[in-house]
Amino acid sequence: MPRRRPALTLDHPLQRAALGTLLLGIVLVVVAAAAQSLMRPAEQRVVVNLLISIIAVVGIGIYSGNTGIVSFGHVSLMGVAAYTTGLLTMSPTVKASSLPHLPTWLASVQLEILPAVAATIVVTTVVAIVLGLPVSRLAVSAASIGTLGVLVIVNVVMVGAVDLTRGSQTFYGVPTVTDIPIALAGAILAIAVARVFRESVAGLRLRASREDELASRSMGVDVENLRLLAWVVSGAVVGLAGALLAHSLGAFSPKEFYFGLTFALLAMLIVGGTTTVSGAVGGTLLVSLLIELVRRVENGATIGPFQLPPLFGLTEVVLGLVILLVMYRRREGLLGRREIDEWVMGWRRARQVPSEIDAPGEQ
Amino acid sequence: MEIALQQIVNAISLGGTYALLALGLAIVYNIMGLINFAHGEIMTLSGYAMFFAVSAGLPLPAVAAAAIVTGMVAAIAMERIAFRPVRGASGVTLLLTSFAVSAILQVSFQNLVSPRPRGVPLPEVFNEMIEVGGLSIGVIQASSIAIVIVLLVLLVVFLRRTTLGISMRAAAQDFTVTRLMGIPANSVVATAFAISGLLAGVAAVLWVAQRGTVDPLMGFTPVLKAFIAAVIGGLGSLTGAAAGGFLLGAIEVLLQAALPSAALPFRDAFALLLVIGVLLVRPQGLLGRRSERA
Repeated sequence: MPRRRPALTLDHPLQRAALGTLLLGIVLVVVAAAAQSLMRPAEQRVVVNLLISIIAVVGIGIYSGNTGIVSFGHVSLMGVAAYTTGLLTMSPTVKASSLPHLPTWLASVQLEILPAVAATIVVTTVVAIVLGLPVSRLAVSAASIGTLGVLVIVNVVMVGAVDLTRGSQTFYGVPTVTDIPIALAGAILAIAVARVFRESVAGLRLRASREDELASRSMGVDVENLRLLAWVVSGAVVGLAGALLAHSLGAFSPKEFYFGLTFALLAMLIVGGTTTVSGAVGGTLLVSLLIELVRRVENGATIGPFQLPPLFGLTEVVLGLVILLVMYRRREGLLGRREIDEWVMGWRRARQVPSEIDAPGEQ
Repeated sequence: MEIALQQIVNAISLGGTYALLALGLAIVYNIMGLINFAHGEIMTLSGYAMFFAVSAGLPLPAVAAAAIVTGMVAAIAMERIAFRPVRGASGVTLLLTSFAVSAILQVSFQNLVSPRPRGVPLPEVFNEMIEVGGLSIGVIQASSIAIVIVLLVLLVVFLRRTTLGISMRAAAQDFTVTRLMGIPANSVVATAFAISGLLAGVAAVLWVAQRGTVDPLMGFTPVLKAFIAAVIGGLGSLTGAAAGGFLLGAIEVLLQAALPSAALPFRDAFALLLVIGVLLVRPQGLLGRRSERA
């Protein structure tokens, strides 16, 4: 007697990507809807920030998760995107006073948000291609340092290009239009892109090279060019995060896109687990909650009768300790090496990258 | 001509500091596969040791000794406390661990000492110039070049002539086999960290002597440069790391002198772009070998 095929299977990569995106999307929609209806507008900014962080972390994960290379450079692409969309959407009158030395075509241009963000993603992608060419040719450890170089280079250029960015002074007058629905749409889009990339042939080959570079090369995987591809795709997603962040903050300076943000985003990625999109989202939710709690204490909280003194930099210490804890106790991250759909279905792919079957410890 | 020689002296003295730091990074990397992000914090700690030693009115040699001893103790302690639990883990795990250690230490300095720079007044001798063959060289620069040369020679002698040094070179090639030969892993790793701490301590002395202040982020920028230097020279090669340090120093001084003033704010970006250009041609670094270590 032929067995009936179950209605819902995850045999096809796109089905896995779709189900994974759907499940994570439901979680985010619930969070966003709760925030929209229950929180005051001022508090809603926290949720907007959370959703933007999810875009950024998922974007970094497209590169770091699939290739196994920690990247410190993605935040600089966020910075590029933030300044680009700022220049494209700012009103010409504000530009005339704050950025008098702009080239004329740039001084007079003012786009609507949607075309501006689209143009920004194109610009960021081009920058990512240029920066990715050398970085993708480096071995794993050297590539991490290379991304660090990228972070510094872009920061120096942002500070130095005074005519375009006002240097280290605050860049202001960017329309603040990012609200919860927009950020939510961006986050779900980012998750979909990340899942499709992860399940694609390119993603599978990259994950194989992450587990064993020599073996995958001997099977004909073109590691360098696939790393470049992952870098560019993740650069585009991170560019979206940077653009939405710019339209959420309204005013910013280059130091917003430097080590502080890098550290926070990496902590989110690591805590959840770098290798999966679900880990990136879960880690961002957890760490954002933690940061929010710590901020209250940092500014001097009152617990019962006790008034705590303000503790400068407590956020960094807590983030650092969380990273250490994960590294000592659970290196694959709290959510491990399985995507949410794999957890939910309680199902294991028949044809997976062999080393993922047993989720072995790192070498 | 004289200006050119002057610039060469500047390049060697700046490059020497980078070389010391890059060597410290490369030694630890070769033994453990760890890219130690917290190396800069060892240097900062040495800087603070100098600050306290000067405040206590100690003479100059004691101040320098305090910095170096602090660097070594800090490096060994860091390995015991933070890195031993993850020994043998993947490079990514090690890198992230050191990244976290670095952030925790930076905030600790800000809270425990001061977020603002602290002055470290050193004797006037350092500000004087000496004449060498018609060339006036700052005492600091002359002594830093001398110190770097002496240290490099001592390091080479240590690595080539002593049992511990030879076992460290062996461990850099194949840690497992080295242990099978009866070399205790802990002593090799601890020695690697001690040497890297010593080099960071010396670098701190040279750095503070030139700038006169110490702040919580003091070690950050030079170590960032040292990373880059080590990658140019080849992370897997000690000679390469040292050469990379000198090369980066030369590139920076050259750009400082050659760039038009409008482009000077971008000096570091140009230097790093040159580095990336080098890596496009030789991804394993100038003197590195292609290795399978990830």
